[in-house]
Amino acid sequence: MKTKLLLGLLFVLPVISGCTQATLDNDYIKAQKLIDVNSNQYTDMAASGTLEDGVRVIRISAQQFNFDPALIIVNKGERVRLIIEVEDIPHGFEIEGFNIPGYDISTIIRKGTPLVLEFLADEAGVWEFICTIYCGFGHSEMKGTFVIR
Amino acid sequence: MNTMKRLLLPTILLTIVTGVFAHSNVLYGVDLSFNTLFEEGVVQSAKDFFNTTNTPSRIDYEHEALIVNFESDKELYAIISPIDFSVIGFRNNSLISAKSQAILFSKEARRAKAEAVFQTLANRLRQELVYGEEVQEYSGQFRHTWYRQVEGILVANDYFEVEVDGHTGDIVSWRAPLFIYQKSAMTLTPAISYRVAQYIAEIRFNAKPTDTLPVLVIEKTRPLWLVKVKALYPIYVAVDALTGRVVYSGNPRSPLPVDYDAGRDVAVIKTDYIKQVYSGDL
Repeated sequence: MKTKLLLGLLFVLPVISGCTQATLDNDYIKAQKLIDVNSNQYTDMAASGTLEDGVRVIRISAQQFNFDPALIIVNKGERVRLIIEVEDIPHGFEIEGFNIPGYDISTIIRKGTPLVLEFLADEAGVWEFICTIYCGFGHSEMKGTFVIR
Repeated sequence: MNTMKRLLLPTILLTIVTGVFAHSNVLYGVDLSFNTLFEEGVVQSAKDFFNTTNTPSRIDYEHEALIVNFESDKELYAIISPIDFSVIGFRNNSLISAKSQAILFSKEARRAKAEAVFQTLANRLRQELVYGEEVQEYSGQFRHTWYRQVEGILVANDYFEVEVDGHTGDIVSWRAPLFIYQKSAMTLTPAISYRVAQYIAEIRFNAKPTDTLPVLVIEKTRPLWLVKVKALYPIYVAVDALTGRVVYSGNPRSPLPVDYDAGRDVAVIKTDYIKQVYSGDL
């Protein structure tokens, strides 16, 4: 009787183990698919703005409580010029985690005086850009996505 | 060439920078002069609360609320809602007793003090706030926290705190949440399982799992899996539970209740997007 039980276990255990492994692998494959698709989401989109004398120029309008465009895509290696124009009350601008040499993120941008930032897009990635000056209830929603691909 | 490009781009974009977005949530010394009526409403409400005619020394911003400071060195401030100028919190460090003084209030008595403040909240807030824990501060103050939970799932940044002095029983500070996002606007079901989120975190950060299993939280209106992994050191990776995208990494953006362990038994309801990804159609 005991021998039969042991033989049964010897047969069943690998099957259970195999099923668990298959499930784990399936989840791993799903994760990898999601990473691939999410990473590719900007691949086929057109780059933002226009090329002027080799510089990618992008005009951004800022107003309570949004940036337009809210998605900016540039190509790695391009020289980029962002022109941020404020439409109403003072706002600020920062690409969080992305250093723009010489730029002070506490700069106040006022209507009629656009902020011009020029830099080399030398690091591929995705960042969030935000308003750095409190502009009323809704300030935390004033953000966009900056992509270097 | 196109194939090369397709292979290279995912690799490049896998180096996505995911910072901790602290700047947008906390600002010091904000200027409200862009709207004088708004400024007057915020300042007057704080003055009324402290029954003072003094001019505030500074106004700060944190998670949509405005903190009106009167004596910055003494941490005397009122927290004002920008929606209706109501007072949603305060702090007065002059109520803190000396560190050497004995703790005279028992745990039950401190909880009762905190509970009395909690009961002053509007019913709609109290209904969704669940008591978390008491934590002792550095010098004999005890912080009690209630966390907003919707159907058992934690809502990030919506918590209620009360700090009680253990010697005098005085309320040193309290802070109520704004509850900007209503339950009806929230998606409470994940579209990917916690195991898939776990793998996403491990693959993206070349990390190993830890003993802590992922938990589900709601950030604003979306569900996130918070996955703790060990890269160079243990970090949290927040994975959007609807898309599988990494939202941020590092420390959690919002305090978590001790022993919070919810979400893994919530039914996974795949969206069309997720179905397409899994089937290879995207």
